[in-house]
This record gives sequence, C-alpha cells and structure tokens, in this order.
Amino acid sequence: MPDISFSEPLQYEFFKNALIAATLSGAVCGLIGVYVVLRKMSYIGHGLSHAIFGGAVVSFVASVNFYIGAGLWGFLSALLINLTTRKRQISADVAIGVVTTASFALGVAIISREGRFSRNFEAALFGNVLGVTSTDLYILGAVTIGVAALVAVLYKQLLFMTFDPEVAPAYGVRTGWVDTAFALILAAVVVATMRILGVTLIAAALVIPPITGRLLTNSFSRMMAISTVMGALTGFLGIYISYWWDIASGAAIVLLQAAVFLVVISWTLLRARILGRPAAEALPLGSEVAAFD
Amino acid sequence: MTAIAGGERGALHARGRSEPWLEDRETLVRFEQVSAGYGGSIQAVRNLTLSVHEGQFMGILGPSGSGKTTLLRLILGTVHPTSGRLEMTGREQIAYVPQLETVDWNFPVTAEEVVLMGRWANRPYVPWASSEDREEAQRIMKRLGIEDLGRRHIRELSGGQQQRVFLARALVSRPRMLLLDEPTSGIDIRTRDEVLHLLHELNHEGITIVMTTHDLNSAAAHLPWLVCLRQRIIAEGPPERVMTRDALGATYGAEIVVLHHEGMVFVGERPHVGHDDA
Repeated sequence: MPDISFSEPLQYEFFKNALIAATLSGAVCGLIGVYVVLRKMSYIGHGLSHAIFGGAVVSFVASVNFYIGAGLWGFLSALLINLTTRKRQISADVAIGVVTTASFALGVAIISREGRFSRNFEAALFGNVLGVTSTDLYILGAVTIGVAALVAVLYKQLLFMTFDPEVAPAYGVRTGWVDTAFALILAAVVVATMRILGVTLIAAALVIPPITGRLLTNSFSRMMAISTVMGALTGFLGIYISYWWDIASGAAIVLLQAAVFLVVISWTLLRARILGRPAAEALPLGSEVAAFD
Repeated sequence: MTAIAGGERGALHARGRSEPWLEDRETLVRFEQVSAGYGGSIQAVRNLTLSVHEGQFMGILGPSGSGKTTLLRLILGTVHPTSGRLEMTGREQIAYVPQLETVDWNFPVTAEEVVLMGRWANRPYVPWASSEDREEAQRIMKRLGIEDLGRRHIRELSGGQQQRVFLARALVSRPRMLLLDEPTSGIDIRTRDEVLHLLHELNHEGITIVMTTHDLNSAAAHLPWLVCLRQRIIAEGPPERVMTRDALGATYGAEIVVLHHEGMVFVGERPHVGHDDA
C-alpha cells in the first residue's frame, strides 16, 4: 500500500507544476468537450490530437517552435474538417478519419525515416506531465483563460449553433465566424494539453466529463459547470494517484474519469429502476457517444 | 381567375393571379424565375415565380422532396438561388420554426432556454439574458399557454407544447414574417387546430405567415392562400380554386378525390384496389 499523503509530494517543484497543469488541462478539456460531445463530434478530439502529432513532428524537423507549428497545423486540420463536413456530402467522422489519420501517418513516416527522436514523441503520444516546464504552464494558463473568455463571449452563438445549426443563421448567428472560432479553440486546447495528457488520451478528457455531466442534468449551463469542475478535480486527483501508485499521469486522470462515469451511469440506471422509468429515458445520451469508441 | 394551361413538358400548370387586396400590400418577398439546389445538377426548385405580400397567410403544399423546405430556406437566406432573382424586404425580421422532427430532443436545454434563443440576436456577445429578454419570453410563453413549462426539459413536453416552445422562440424576436416548416405534423387533431387558430390570430395582428404542410384537409379548411409545389409552382390561389383534382393530381402524382360541399373542400385518396379493378 503506498504512502497516501497530499502534502508530501508538494515539496517537489515538478509535482506542483504537474498538479497545476493537470487541473487546468482537465478543466479546459471539460469545458470545450461539452460542445464536442453535443455536436456529435466526439471523435474529433481523438483525430485532432493525432493530426497535431503529425504537425509536431514536422515542426521538430523544420526547427519551428512546437506550439506555433503544431498549433497552426491543428487549426488548419480543424478548419479542413469543418469545411468538409459543411459540404454535407461527407459525414464528420469520415472527414475526421481522412484528414487526421493522413496527418498522423505523415508524422510516423518522418519519425521512421529519421529514427533519432522517437523517445521525445513517446512523451507526446502518452503524455508526460512530470516534465512540464514553466513555459508549458504559462501557455496552458493563457490558453485556458483565452478559451474561457472566448466561450463566454460566444456562449449564445455556440449554444445556438450546437443545438440548431440549420436555424441559427436565421437568428443572426454568424456561422462561418463561430465555426472558425471553434476550430481555433479546439486546436489550441489540444496543442496546449497534448504534452500533459498525451495524444492518445485527450479524446477521453474531452468526452468523459461532458457525458457524465449530461447524465446528471438537463440544463446546458449546469452540464458545462459539472463537466469543467469534474475535469479539474479528476486532473488534480489523477496526478496524486499517478504519484502514489507510480503510473502514467494521463492514464491515471482518464481512469479516474472513467471510474466517476461508471459510478454516475450505475446510479442513473439504478435510480431509473427504482422509479420504474425505462433505461433509455434515463440515459439521454442519444448518438452523442456513438462516434466515440 | 385561375388559369389552367399546358405547362412545361406537358405538365398541368395552374396559376391564380393575386387577389386585388394583395396588390395594395407591400411585397415582402418576390421570386422571379428562381432555381436552387444543394450542389450538383439536382435542383430542389425550378423557375419559381411567386410573391409574398405583407399580411398574407400562405400555405405551401407538395409531396416530400417537392422543394417546400427549400422555398422557406430561400426566404430565410440559408439557401441561395442558383439562377433567377430573389428580392426581399426586411430579412432580419423573419423568424423560422423548424420541423419538430429535425430537433435533437436529447439536447440539454429547457423550454425557457429555447425561447430565449429568439432574443439572442439583440446582444449576441453577452453570455446571459437580460431582464427585458426574460420578461418578453415570459410574456410570449404566457400568451401561448406554456408559462409554467419554462424549467422543463424539451423532451418532457407533449408534441403541442414542443411546437409552442419553438413558436415562442420565433415570436420573441418580434418578427414581421413567420416561416413554419410543417407545424402541424406529428401532433393530434385538437392541438393542430389550436396551432392553426393561434397562427390565424397572429396573422390578424399583422404577422405575415408562410407555412408548409402535408395536411391537405387542414390546409383547405384553415389557410386562405395556397401554393402547390412540385419543384415548380403547379397552382396558386385560394383553396376553393387550388384544391382541384387536376392541380392536386399534378402536384402529388396521384389520383386525388376532391369534394366541394357548402363552401368547404374535402380531399381524399382514391384506394388503389378500386382503381385497379376499375
């Protein structure tokens, strides 16, 4: 049994950095994940992080700053996905599948050819929260504040676009501008949290807290609050679990989120059974989770 | 007044001229030879020439895929003509009520949140609703008899209540013109009558209404002006002139029985068995 102490690991600078980074990452993923889930684009977190991995490799080879190179790459990928989906002839999951896996494949191809920096990208794939630098923290802090501000300013328009994309333009929502802003927000979140959560685990951090929130409320604003708080709390506690049990930080955070989801869905089904309501009515998930696997 | 003539490719083409009182009203929408589609060579509507006047209550009839929703979207501005000319007055004062079938009923929003969306164009970058927005939403919800349902999730409402919530969202924006896509589908007869009476009241208060419907008998009984659409306009005019066997047959591509009785029009389908036997 490990020594479970909340104060003991705080003596280490790397742990404090990790704690702040994971809490912010969890919160910002939980916040933006609400739109990802309700737009039925759960797969986008998975795809975009893979696309950005390709961008990260290209920027490394081209000696461009990771955040600039990967950020631009991610933004363009998100825009391309939006654009392809808008044409309606290709569904979102197909668009994401094509754009992002091609980008990921490019990254893998460059790594296999160069063969000299695979260890750095192992961290990008699985997350390395214990290696968070102060620069990473500043960027993550700035992205969190920027995203929160943009979501506040675009709250009405993003909600209308998510709920009723066909009708929103008729009520003055500037759909092109809102979609572009959303692509920018999403790319910024994935780039800023990639080193902490890892390419393979970002999708879960974008999806599990919102879905859990959805099970607990029928109100959009409350779902957003629950998802953000759950993301922050599981990020915070996940780092402790990672330290206590010596497991990868990204995996600890996501496993904790999955455990919370399991408890909430079990409680929801149990409550439905007690009240004599059909299970389908108690689980208002619809097709939001269908694209996520 | 209704002219029946041979039209494009030999199809029946019946058009009614506007009523004299309509000529005096301001034209809010004017289609001139408008065609539109969704990419590729398939056109949802072809060579539409149609005017919507202020104060008009117009019903658009036609089978599935006839271009009814496209016509509404053209007025809304979410679909653009590929050819022809479309003139609009006050597009910003148009409100739209979508088909209930297109709504995501699992979405986490309450009835009041949906209604408030109709006010969001006023202060789009402020994340909360103003007290004026809430008061207006409450006033309209009270008018539509849904004032006690504000905190309910949209899925918890009956079909009629759901229709009223979306109608309320349209009305809180204080529209000059109201577009409704099949507002009578999926609701029971009593609710349908209530919705149509409500629309009549709104029309009498000066709101121009254009709605699509599949319900021929309801349209004949309640709507003063009808347009039969099948990619192009087959017939246009008051129900007693448009609801003819020829015009409806050309619109729906089926044999339709039309009975006129004491000023009322009744529409029915001819059973296939009897038809074949004959």
